[in-house]
Amino acid sequence: MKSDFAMVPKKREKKELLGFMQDCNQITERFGLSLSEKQIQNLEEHRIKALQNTGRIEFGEGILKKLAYAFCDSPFLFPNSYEETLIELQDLFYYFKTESMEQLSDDELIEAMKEIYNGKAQGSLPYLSQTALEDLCRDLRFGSFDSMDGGDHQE
Amino acid sequence: MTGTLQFTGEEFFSDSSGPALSEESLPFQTSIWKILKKQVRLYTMGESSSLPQETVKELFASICFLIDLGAAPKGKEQPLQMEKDNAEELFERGKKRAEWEVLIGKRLWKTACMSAPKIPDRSLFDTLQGIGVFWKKYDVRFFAHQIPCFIDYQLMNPVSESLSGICYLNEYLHCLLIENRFLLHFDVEHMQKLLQIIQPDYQELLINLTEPVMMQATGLSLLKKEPYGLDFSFQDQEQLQLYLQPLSEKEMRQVLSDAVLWLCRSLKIEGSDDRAYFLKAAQDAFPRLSAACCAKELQNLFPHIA
Repeated sequence: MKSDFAMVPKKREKKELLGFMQDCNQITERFGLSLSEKQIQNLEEHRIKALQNTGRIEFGEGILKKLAYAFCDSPFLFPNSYEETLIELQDLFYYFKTESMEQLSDDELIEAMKEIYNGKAQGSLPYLSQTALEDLCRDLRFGSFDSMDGGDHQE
Repeated sequence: MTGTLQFTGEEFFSDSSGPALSEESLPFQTSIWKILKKQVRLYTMGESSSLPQETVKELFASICFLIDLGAAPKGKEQPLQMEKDNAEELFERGKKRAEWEVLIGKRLWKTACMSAPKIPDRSLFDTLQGIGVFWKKYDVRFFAHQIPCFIDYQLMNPVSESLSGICYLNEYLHCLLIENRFLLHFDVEHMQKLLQIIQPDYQELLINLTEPVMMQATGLSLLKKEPYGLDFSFQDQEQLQLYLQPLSEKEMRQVLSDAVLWLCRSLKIEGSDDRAYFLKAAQDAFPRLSAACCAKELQNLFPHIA
């Protein structure tokens, strides 16, 4: 039996994401951080690219809302660089999700990213991506991971 | 059902409905999309919002397999009516059917193990042992289309590649049982002698044990001789050469089929599946018979084993 068909996600899901992020703004505004509709659309486009680049498929509301909630109270996040930082964090999330060989749940990875970003990395995204998370994922792959402190366990 | 899920490029994320989407099938596809989302949520236990494409493709293939099974539970080809069928209902029905097939498969496997010929053959032994692992690894919930074991032993008639998952395995076991039942009619010592002549290293090779025995028995049936001895004397070989030589291709195919039916009758093989199985194997062997007959080398196909 052959019934070829293609499945294309619905426009509805894009609209849902817009709604989610607008809800998110209500929380992050307390920290002086908010996104305009245009910025949300830009983030969505980057999400699609990040998923394509990492060969992943996302279901449901996506990771942006969780990232925004987790990082909004960071002392290293500023209103003028909020959008760029979220884009970067989103790219890193999908990249390291694959690099960790699916051994970390979304919440665990976000928690690790947040701890490193606010701790050792002191708000440095290059440090977060090129050093700490690389170490974390390498440890996961070789089975020597025993803590979630983002590389401190090696010392 | 062969689903084409567009994962890469712009298509997956685009808003436009692709050319493959028709108005009638849209509700059906939306249902499949819902099933896929649910399966992903169950698979990740809600801990991950995204998955690698390869995993999603496998989950999707499993859904297609189960929907197929739900739509045509007896494995009969039946066009899926997207505008009428309810995908979720078919999926659930398919899952139940797959679980039922697993129970049937376990019974078939046990019977196949018990009825296996007492001839040492590594590939048959490894395959039967490997199928034991299948029952532990087979995952009806997420990867029902997969066959998580090695099947090394070659059957006389290969199982269709269009089957997958438990359907493939059950069909394989069904055919293996047909072969095992056939071999039970013959003396192990005679079979070993025959196999030794045809392929001295047969125990270690990926060869089928039934095919040489069936050919030898069919050859004897062509001469209306009793097949149990599996021995072709030199006179038999000459007599068969004289009998086959003047025949046209059509006539030779016909006598071959008649000989198989005669053999089935003398061995009291009454199942229609069994008879069809041996008829097909005999027809597949026709080119070899024809070539051996033209070259007057029938002793290579029907050896003297005593």
